[in-house]
This record gives sequence, structure tokens and C-alpha cells, in this order.
Amino acid sequence: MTETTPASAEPPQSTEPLLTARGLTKEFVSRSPLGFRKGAVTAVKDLNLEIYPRQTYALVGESGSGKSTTGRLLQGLLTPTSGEIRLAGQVLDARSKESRPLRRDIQMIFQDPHSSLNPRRRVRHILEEALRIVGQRDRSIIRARVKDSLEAVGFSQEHAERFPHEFSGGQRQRIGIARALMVEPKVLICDEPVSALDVSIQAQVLNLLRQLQRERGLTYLFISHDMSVVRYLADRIGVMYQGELVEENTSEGLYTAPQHPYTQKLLASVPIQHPRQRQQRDRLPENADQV
Amino acid sequence: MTTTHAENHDDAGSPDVLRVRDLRTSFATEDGLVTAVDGVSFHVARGEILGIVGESGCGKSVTAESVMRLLDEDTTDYDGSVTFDGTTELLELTEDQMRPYRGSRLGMIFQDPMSSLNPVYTIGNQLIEAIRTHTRLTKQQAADKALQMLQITGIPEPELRLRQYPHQLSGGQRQRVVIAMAMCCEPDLLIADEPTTALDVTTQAQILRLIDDLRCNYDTGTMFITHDLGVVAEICDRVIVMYLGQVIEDTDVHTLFDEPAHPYTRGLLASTPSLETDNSKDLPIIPGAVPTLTQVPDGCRFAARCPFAIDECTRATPELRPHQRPGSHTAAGDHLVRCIRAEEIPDLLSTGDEQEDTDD
Repeated sequence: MTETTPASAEPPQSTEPLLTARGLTKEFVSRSPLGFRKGAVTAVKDLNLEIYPRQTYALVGESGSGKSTTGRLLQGLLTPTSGEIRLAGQVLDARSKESRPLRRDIQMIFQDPHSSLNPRRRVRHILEEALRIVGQRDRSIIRARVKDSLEAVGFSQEHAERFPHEFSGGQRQRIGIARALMVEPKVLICDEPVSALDVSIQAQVLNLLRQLQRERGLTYLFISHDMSVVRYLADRIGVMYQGELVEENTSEGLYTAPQHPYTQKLLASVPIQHPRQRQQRDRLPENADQV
Repeated sequence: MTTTHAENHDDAGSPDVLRVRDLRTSFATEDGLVTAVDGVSFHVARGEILGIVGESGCGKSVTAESVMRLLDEDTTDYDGSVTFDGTTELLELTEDQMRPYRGSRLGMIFQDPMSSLNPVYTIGNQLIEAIRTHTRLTKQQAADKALQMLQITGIPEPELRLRQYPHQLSGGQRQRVVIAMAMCCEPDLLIADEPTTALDVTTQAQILRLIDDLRCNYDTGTMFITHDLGVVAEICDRVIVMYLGQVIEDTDVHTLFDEPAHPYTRGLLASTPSLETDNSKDLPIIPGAVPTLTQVPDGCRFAARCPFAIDECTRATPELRPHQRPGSHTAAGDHLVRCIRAEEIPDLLSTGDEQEDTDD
């Protein structure tokens, strides 16, 4: 596995994108108790994405901008109203049985490590379940994968016999990552994976994600509102605003030359790194009416 | 605690709106007595924003709740002194004596604005109630005051907001309402407990600016609790860093970022990615996790996670003492640190000795 350097973030022209979305749209319809259509919210509007293998694509935007909905559409947790998702060239349809083996290649890590693990099951059961659900019955394979996944996130076999509550927040997030690794996915969709964690733990999990990408050639869709984390981790960044992808660029390009007014506002709002920057920063966010 | 302000502390006309000395807050739990805040001292001057920084479980919120006396007094034990406005000893007041302070002279903003607002009353109703509880204004005067406060917070269409319910407002608007409510009686001390953590980054920038403007206009002393060092860099004047119930560093905001003295503060600053972080390297990390309060280590509480720890660190609890770094631009005594090796660390880092110390 060669080391990817996020700094040189041009999409490799020779390779095909691993995950693509074309004209992806999701409309949520609210209905009256009698089933009549009351109204609709378009959470994602005509979204086009290309994510290249072994790269990290970050989606940023404020709450309600549709970035989590996009992640769920790509994973198949939601069915798009229209549009097409392809993984390595093959069409992925959340409703069809034929797509199931494909969907296995896309796994998800959630924001809250407390609610995403079953509190009544031992870690071993939680991990094994991820494989059983996709039809794996061979006990020796399952056992080997549990060991491999746990070691990948820095745990040993004995941790498998514990319950989620015996772990701290950062450790639980690592169990969530281990569970996602059980089916040996190609793509990990990380929905705000570190925003519920303390600063010192956040760095540990970010380093782990980078290490897994190097060692296992994983491709990440990283959903976040934290511009500093995204700047550190991503090769390409897409900015979402009101359901649309308003700007997309390499990590470097987006930060040095943001084009869309919303991107500019977003970057100007990032807290400064040092109190001496208080004077020089240009205070952009004037339009309080957007709040 | 000895600082250069110490002389001012003893006369009643001191500029400090709040002086906390050796505060100790313990809870009776099933696992025995747990001391969440252990000997914390600090002071807040008028017009000053004091940042209280730390990770979850470090006692920063309990410190704020102790000042407001919001904890269940049947299971909570307070010790030490919390002096408000130079004269009033808050910990000695009865519940009835304490109540008029809360919401009038002591204002508080919580992290989640939705749970601080009543969902079944209009914004106007709640603001007017808050104003009339603490003043003798008539209903009409209170309504005018409510509108005026909303205008100050920069909320769009304030007249309309008064007639709306909390669910009709966005997160940023709700937080502006909560700030308006906290400020409507012009408190001397404002306690903001992670007021921007639940907000989007663009909204956060606006709310921070609002809090900064209010302290200038009203000369309010502010205790600003946060885990976000970027937010500290934005608006705080002085900072205390807490770890496992203790203050481990106390200094002005520039010194904190220029010359962090405690290894924990150094670790926090280094492990936070910024827009300038070199992304070809892994982030420096603080190994391990914060221990729970039922397993407080002997000696220095950070020693187990500290790359500079030596045997001596675990023998006795280090004192919070003045940091003496030659060439430092801060006045002696204005920079306090709870680490016996604080002065040696810059040299250890430059000679790359810290690896050997890890093995100690």
C-alpha cells in the first residue's frame, strides 16, 4: 500500500472514480393522516459527486444543508427520489436485492458512539452480527475477522468480551470503526465521527482513520461541519448549501481560493488559531438575517 | 492563589465581580464521595471574559453550577468561598436569599437553547416574565424592554419573534433569545456554558461577537466555559485550564497560546487541527483518556498521560504556582501552572529528551 499524501490532491486521471452520484435528488414528503400530500422538502437537489479510490472526499455545510442525507443515500439507508449511484461502475439500487452484495462495500460510522452500539450485547456479538447479517456462517472466518478488526483499531481479543458501557467515548467510536471493517468494505461513510469526542480523543481517532486508509486502501466520504478537521483530512471538499453542492475543489484550492459566497462566509467564520489574529481577521458574517 | 491582583482582592471596592477561592464541590454517590471540583480559585473582573477550558469530566460545568448554586443541595457538599461583587458570600446564602440573584445579577446561558426555553409560551411571554420577576416594571414597560433586548441581540424582525414560539425559531435565533433573557436584567456576571457548541460555525461567529459586544456595553464580567480553543482565541481575555477537577494553568490568553506551560495545555494545543496543520503528518496526540473521578490518581493527575512525567510527579500533588520562565513577557505571578517540570520542558523539547523521560 503506497502512502497517499493528501496535499497533492488532484484526482488521479488514470483511475476511474469508485463511487459516483448523478443527479441525486431526495425529496421528503409530509402527508396528512389520510395520506394526502401536504408538502415536500427537497433535502438533496441534483447532486453530482465523484469519489476516487483511496481518497477522502469531505462534505461540509451547516446543519440542514443535506450532507447527512447525501451520506445516507450513498450508503443505501435512504432511497433517492431520482438520480443514480454507482459503485465501481455498477448501479446501486437501495431497493433491489441484487445490489445487496454491492452495498456491503459501503459501510458507515456514526456521530454518536453511545447510541450506535447495542448496550446489551458484548462487543464480540456486535462485531459478529455485522458479518452474519450478510450471510457469513463460517465460524472460523468470523472469529478471524473479529480479531483482525479489533487489532486494526488498537484493541486486543479480550476487549471482545466486554460491553459497550465499559469503554470511553473514543474507544466506543473505535468499536464502531471495527464493526464497519468487519465486512472489509471499500468505502467508509463517516458522518461527523469525531464531533462528539473530546479534543485529545479526536486526534487519536483522526490518526486511526488515516492509518486505516494507508493500510487498507479505504475510500472515505467524510461528513463534517468542522473546517479545520476537514482541511487536515480531505483530498477533495464539496460544500453543500440548502441541498445543493455549491462548490467543489481540492482541499488546497478551496481554502486558498473559495469561489462561492457561502464558502467564503464559512471559512471566515472558522475560529482563529491565535488571539493575535483578532485584529487582522476580516469579520465577514454581517448578514444576521441568515441565522 | 497569589496574583498581582491579590492586593485588590481584600478591599470591598475591588473591580472583581466574582472571586472564587479554593472551591471544592463534592457529590455523594453510590461509589462514595466524589470531588468534582477540587480547590479551584479564580476571579472575574468587570468587562472581562474569563475562559474556563477543559475536556468533559474536568469540572468546568460543575464550577459554573456551583457559583449559581444549581446543584441538588441534598447530595452536594460545597467548600471554599464564592464572593460576588466583593461582599456577598454566595455559598452562605439560604435558598430564599439566593433566588433573587439568579437571573438578575447572575445571568446564565446554557449549551442547548431549546431546553432553556419553555415550548408552550411565546418568546415575548417568557422574556416579560423574566423581566417582571426581577424588576418593578409594568407589563407594557417590560414588553418594551423585551423588544429592546431582542433588538440588541440583532435578531431579525424582533417584533415578530415576540409573538412566536421557540420551535418557530432557528438554533441561532433561539440562542439570541436566551442571551436576551440572560441580559435583560443587566447582570453583573454572565455565565456562558458552551453557548455555541450546538450551533453552526457561521452562527457561532455571530453569537461570539454578540457576547463580546455585550460585555463592552454593559461592563459584564463573563465566565465562558468551552472545550474549543479556537473560541478561546476569539474572545477570552484570561483563561484557566482545568483537568480532573483542578486548575492546571491560569494565564492571559496571549501567554496561553504563545507559551503554554503545562504539558496538558501543550498537548491540547498541538492535537487540535487548524487550517495551517501540516496534513502530511499524523496529529500529535495525548495518549490515553481522562480517568474517572472515582479513580483520581495520586500525585499529578495528568502524570499517566504526560510524556515528561518522572517518578517525583506521582509522589505528591503539585501546587498551582507561578511559572518562572526566563525571558517571559508576562509579569511574575500572572502565569500559574500546576507542574513541577514546567520550566524544563522547552529545553527537553529542543534536545529531544522527552523520549527518555517516557520510559521513567
